[in-house]
Amino acid sequence: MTVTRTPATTPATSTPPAAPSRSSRRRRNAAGTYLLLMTLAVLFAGPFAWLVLAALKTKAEWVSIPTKILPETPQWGNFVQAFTEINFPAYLGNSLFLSFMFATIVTFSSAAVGFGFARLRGRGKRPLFVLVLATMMLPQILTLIPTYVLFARMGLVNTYWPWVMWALGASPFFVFLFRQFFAAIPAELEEAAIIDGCGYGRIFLQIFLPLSRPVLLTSFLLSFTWTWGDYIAPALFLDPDQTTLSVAIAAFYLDPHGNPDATVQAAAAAMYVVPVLVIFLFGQRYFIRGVVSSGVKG
Amino acid sequence: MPQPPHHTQLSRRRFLTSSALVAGSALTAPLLGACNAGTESGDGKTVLTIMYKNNELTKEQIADFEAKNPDIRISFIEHDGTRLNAMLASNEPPDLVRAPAVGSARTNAQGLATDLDPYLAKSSVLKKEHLLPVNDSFRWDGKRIGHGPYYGIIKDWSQDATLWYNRALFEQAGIQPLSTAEPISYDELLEIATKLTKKSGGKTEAYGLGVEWAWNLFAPISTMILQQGGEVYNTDLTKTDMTTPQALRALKWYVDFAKAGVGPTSLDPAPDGADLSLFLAKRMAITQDGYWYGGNFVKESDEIKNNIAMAPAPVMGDKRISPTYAGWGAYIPAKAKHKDEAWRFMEYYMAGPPSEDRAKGGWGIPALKSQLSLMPQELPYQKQVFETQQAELQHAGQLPDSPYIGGATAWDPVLDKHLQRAIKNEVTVEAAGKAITDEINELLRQGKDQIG
Repeated sequence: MTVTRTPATTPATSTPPAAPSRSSRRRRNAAGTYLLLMTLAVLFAGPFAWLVLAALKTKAEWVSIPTKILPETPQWGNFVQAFTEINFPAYLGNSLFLSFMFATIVTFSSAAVGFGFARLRGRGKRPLFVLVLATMMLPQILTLIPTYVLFARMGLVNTYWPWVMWALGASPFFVFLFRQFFAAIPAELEEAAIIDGCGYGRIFLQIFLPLSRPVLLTSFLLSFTWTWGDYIAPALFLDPDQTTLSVAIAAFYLDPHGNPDATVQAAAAAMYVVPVLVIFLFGQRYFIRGVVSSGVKG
Repeated sequence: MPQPPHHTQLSRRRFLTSSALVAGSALTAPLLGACNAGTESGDGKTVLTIMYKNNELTKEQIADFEAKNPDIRISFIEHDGTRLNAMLASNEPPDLVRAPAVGSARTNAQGLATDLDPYLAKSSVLKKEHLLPVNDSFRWDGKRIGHGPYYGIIKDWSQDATLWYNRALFEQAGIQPLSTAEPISYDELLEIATKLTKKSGGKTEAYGLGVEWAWNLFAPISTMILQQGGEVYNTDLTKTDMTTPQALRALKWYVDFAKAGVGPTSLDPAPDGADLSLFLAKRMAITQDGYWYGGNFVKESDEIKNNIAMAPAPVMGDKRISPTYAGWGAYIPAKAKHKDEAWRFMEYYMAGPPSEDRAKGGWGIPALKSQLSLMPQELPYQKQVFETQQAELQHAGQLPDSPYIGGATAWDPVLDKHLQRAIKNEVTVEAAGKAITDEINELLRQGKDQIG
């Protein structure tokens, strides 16, 4: 018998293209991600770039139609004028002092309260925590005038003491942030410390606080930028010489009849944004880690 | 859970930490509290708290006043409505507050301001007979403005319906410039503004007319109603009617103005909210602003100075009325702690060197008769403006003011909301007038309930 060996049947269809290798697929995904990130970066950086460009324009270019994106001759003098027309360094100093002081105290006080809610036992702890969280629903503007009346009676208007008081009262959001973080730390760590002779004060200061560096930094950054950008409280509580840069920029670049000097204001605003940008750029890694580790994601 | 032991031993590290905290607190405490202002300074001077605008009351003027009044130190607060409310609520008001005369009825009816008649009677530099009639808007007799005691004094003022225009833009469009002696009608003004407006590719290259929409709607609309012989409020100031033929004609003009696209509105706002930058950039031919506007041009190029002119306020009817829309000045709060010292400042600021400087600067019409001659006439445009302004003074009327509503601040959002709907053809002008009437009457009712 003759055995005919037939070659293996070849499929009727043509050979499919080789499946893309894992590395090329990864590269394509990465390119997509970068494209998306770059688009978002342009979207977010756009307003700041526009602010800087506005700061470099003449008043005529500022209102020209069709809109001029780039100034014909950059008006660096707007920055000089923004710096010299008002006592810029003094207002900058006031803003820095107030923001730094508030951020430091509120971070510490919120950490202490968060520690209490996370690690200490006590009757009514849960409803109290819910009550603290509920205060987040109360807009600050609603309590501002009653607070003013209170501080005025105490003789604390036109001082920085209201910010100390607010900071000592802790922030419900940061309390929540710290509470979530501290609650995730194993109980064994706390028990070992107690066996070694630690009191709760030392446990908080020497064990929990050093462990919570990302959350500390997150709290510091958020509260710093909040105070830095706040307009209404300094406008209400502080006189012109003691006020912050945000109020000065909004109120003091005026001609004798109160017309705002938009391009000089833009230059001042561009300089005003820089410290916060620098702080964020240096602290962003911790900031992101802090938000993630406390379970608060946007 | 094991209980923590108590610690009493002070370690070196804890000692250093505590010391640093104490030192830090000691250094920070003065920084926090150094700026607190009481009513008497450490050197025994009276601390006079003044709430004003930093561009209107300068540091040099404060220093000059303090030098001339060595027993007084001024604590300056930037004018802010929220802060003023907070200060009034806490019974710690400033000793002197910046405020407009138009719209002061509410403050006066609430008893928040001091009757200045006794001070005016005693003063040698600021007397009733020195005051121009525009100050009457600060008067209140318990029922109406213009009568009774003075509760404030105007710093300077303008007849805000007058028109400023750029002749060069008229020439380019081949249109005869506006008369600087005779008022134009609002209908003609809109026609001319339409011809002056330049559009290209759906964008407005140059506006024909700016009416400072973002600044005030109540005052110009009220003026239009008064010019036609109408009224804004009923006799006891408790109701309005924006459905009268006069009111509807005024509202319709604003709707037509917006639909024609000849000037910025809240639906097509100016880049910085005001007309000045557009006017200076030669992107607006006419702008409706008072005498004070001329102060803007002194330092501008000759091209601007040689081409600008001021025209009388336009009219919508037979009555030529050209009122001030604000008349900024100051009052002494009823609960101020240092009223006599505040009056001394009032005399200095309203009748002393700052008032003379203001009159010479052309940033507003002085509020005192004796200072009218100080208005600048050096530059050609200032000469023309002075002449037009002198004639316009004969037609200065008074805007209505109800104590039951906060003037333009309360009216403007309501007017703007319903005008926008009419501009977008969502409602008719008549329906907008009815809606405005209903909303404002509700506010008036609430105000009446509060004040009684």
